[in-house]
Amino acid sequence: MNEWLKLARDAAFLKTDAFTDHAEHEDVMKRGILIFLAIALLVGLIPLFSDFAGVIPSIAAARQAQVEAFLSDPIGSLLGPAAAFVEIPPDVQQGIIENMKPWADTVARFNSLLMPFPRFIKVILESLGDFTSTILKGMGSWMLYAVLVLLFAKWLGGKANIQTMLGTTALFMVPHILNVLAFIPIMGPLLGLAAAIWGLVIYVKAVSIVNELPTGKTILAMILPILAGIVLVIVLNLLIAALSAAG
Amino acid sequence: MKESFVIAWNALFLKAAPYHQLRDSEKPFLDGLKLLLIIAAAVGIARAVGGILNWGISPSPDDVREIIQETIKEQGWYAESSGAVEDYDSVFNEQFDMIFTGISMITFSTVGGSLLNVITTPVTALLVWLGWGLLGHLFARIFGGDASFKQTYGVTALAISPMLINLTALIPGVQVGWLVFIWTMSCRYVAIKSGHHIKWGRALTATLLPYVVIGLLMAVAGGVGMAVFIQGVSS
Repeated sequence: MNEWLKLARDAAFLKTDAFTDHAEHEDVMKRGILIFLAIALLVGLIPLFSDFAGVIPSIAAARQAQVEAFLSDPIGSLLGPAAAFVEIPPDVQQGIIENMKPWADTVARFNSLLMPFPRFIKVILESLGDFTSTILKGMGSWMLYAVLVLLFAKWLGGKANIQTMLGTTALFMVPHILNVLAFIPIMGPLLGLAAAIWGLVIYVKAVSIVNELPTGKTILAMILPILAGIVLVIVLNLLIAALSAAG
Repeated sequence: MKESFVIAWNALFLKAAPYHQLRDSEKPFLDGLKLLLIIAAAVGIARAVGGILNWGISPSPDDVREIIQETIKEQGWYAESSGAVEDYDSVFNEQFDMIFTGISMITFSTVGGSLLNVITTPVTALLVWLGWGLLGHLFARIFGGDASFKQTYGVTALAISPMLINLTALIPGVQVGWLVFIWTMSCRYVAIKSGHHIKWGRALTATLLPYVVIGLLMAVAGGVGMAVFIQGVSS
């Protein structure tokens, strides 16, 4: 345990030896993934327990409240921040609201439906499912991005292999331990932002060390997958637009 | 059994040693097959239990269908259309039933359907292993690989180890996102690279090409299926 804590602390303080020793370790990927999981579990446990605490009384009420919030501003709820840029005539808005109203009762009726197991089991299992899905999806995104960065790093002359790349980039999660304080108003989001920036710096350091690349090339290797993704989305959109026009 | 899980566990973390171990074993194909079936059976059981739990926390599909259908019919546009078009009600009911039945087959679990996972998961895993192994072997050999057919199947069986993540299917509604796909692909890359002793670029190409071939075949099959469906609906 001490060894793991030392690795996490030294990685957080960007000590080069910590990254090189970790990269040369036989269990580099196992250690990286277990650090990732340990932090994700710690950060996720507080919201999970708060879900459990409110298990029985509030679920139906919470869903009803969500529906009512949706009905009070359907355009904003549907479009999110993009609603500010979209002008919808008042009569169309009214039409949307009128069509949505029956669904408020529907949600209440869904909540009253019987099921084979007691409702609190449903809430506990759904909370556990959300919690587990969040961690697994987060790991999936990290792994996909790390593999893409590795490919571009290799293209730029990088020397890492997939095992060391995944094992060392997982250390970016270390500062995210600050997210356990996310529930504190104002302070929580600020700490989250600090953790994200700090994590990014650790990521750059990790990629740079295992690939033996200078910082400039490292940052380029990290930006290229994002640029490639944007180009892909644009090309696909153009393709769909062209096909629609042709059709 | 324990030995199989230990070797899969080490393969999961992309170490070359377990892949070399299986490649050099006396019966790589049979050892791989055994490992694959043990993991797939465990995941199948997890999916079955998760499916039964999901059934237990879901309302009856008939109740849900009734509520949705009634809500749609309460809407203004439905009344207008129903008044303007003859037989609107019966056509609507028929199409709604068809769509809802299709959706509920995916959304709602049944005890029988959940138990089927115990069989379908290992069978699917076996077919994917055999299909991918064949293509992976062909491409690896084209790019200079030196493993035999049996050895390729042995090492690619180890690449199923990320399927262990699907044990989380015990909890209803868990979504794994990209994780199993990208992790399996990474394991297959290590399997091809370690099993065939080829350089990383060639191993990567030999790993990606089977996905391209399978993707193209699926796209063609999907296109044909869609054409048949559209023709059926329009007629």
